[in-house]
Amino acid sequence: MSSAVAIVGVGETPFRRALEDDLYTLLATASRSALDDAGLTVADVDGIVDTTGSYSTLHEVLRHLGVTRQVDVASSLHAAPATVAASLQAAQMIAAGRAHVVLAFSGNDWGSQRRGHTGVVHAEMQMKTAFEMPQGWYPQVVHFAGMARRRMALYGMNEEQLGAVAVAARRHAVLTGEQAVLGHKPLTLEQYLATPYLAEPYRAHDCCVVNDGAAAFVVTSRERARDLARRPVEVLGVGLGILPMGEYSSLRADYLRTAAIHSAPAAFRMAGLEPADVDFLELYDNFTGMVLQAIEDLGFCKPGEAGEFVGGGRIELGGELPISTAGGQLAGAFLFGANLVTEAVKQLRGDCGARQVAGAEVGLVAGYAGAEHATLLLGRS
Amino acid sequence: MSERDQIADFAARLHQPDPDFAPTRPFFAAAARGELVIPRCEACSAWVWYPQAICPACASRRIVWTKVSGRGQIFTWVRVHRSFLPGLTSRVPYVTALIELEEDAALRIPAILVSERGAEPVIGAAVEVIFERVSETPPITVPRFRLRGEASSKQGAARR
Repeated sequence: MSSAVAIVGVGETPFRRALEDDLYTLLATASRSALDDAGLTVADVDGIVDTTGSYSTLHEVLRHLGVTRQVDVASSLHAAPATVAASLQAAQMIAAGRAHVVLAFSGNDWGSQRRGHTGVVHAEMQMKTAFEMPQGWYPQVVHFAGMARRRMALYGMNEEQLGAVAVAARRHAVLTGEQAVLGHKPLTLEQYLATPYLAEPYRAHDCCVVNDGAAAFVVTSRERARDLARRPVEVLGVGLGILPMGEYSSLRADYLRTAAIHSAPAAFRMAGLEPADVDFLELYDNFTGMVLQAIEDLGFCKPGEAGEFVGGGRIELGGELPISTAGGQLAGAFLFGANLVTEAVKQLRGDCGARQVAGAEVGLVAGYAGAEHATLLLGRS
Repeated sequence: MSERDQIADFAARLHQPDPDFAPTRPFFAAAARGELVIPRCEACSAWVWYPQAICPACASRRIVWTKVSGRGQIFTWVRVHRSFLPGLTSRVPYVTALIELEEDAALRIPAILVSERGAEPVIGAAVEVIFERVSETPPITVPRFRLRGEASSKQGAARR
């Protein structure tokens, strides 16, 4: 039942279209900020969850951060699923006595990379190079627009529903202010609908932002957490899932499902909770349609019902189930998951001011990457 | 070549498959002959798509590129208004689709949908393969699809 660990510190760099600092500096800065927040120091860190899957990134961050002692290192999934599931690896390291203070971080420097950089991860996959790119089935916005088109045909999803997701994220970003990349740019449904298509049915407003920035968090035992600087946020449940053929969305048997159908039940089972217990969601909103997808796959409504679900302000602050309370990735920042975790922690501490979810007791964070999904349930202590 | 030129050269060729890349070479060789081929396990008859050297169903390595009818239906489609592939910029707006082949619902093939009449694509609409020479040096031919019944003399000729 539940876990024996808590998140005790969170840190963020500024999130901007482009920053002066390189990625290693950003990751080290966010990490140090998370340790400061917890009242801990770099010397206290004896465990790392490596969410980057990159030898050079891991060791450059340790060098930039000044970690000189022996640390245990764990990893599981990739990108956002790794970050969102990091508390599980941390709990296992701590339970095994291998580490006591575990640091996880993720960040992004695509904002200052050349245009078109976002697609490179797909361009390097041989089968996509052979069969997808020659047919213009590239990059991500086309892959996900294909899912949106089929969702429209099967479930009657419409552009107003996609727009409702974009408008909600933008409203929350504006409440967040300068820490959201699009915090200075309000968006109405009329403006959304008047914007030209990129890859129909998707417009620029349906796509996550491309930016620089990093975020980090610190996990320790609930026992140790009681003696630290901030109110701990308890890790209630973590679930992981993978989908067969997941990396080729073009070939997925369950074309309109994500591995959240596996990770969410696992997380709820571990926590002893159900969707009705959740007060807000920090979703992997890489595209607006994936928010509808997630609402269904996580169990908040039946397949095909998410279009209705997002209407009437339900997913906005003040509504029944606020989503992406700092603007998510559509309007906040795209950092492979860590900012979704830090925002959930801040909400559960009650630190969010104008964008605070009233009475927030349980928050859900979701991390997606093609074949992979992680669900994290956090609770106010 | 400067790094900037190398990147530009890489981007310019993103829309062109490498016809000599061994795991997919038979696909493009067949396309040049006007045939659509898909790998199939000779031992258990499972389609093996995308290609891989070992059958996921029975572990046989006897995978044979097998001619299919070239008929299917639209599984989903996207109208691309801004191409992220420099080589396809001149085609925008173009429609790219996932085509479900009639041999097996699990066989989906991404394809640009060619329509001289500008017909609106519909999920489930019947389509058939045609072939387009996209490069002379090196010679590269790729499949495209069109709505069935929308034959034209020009595309019919390209089909051979």
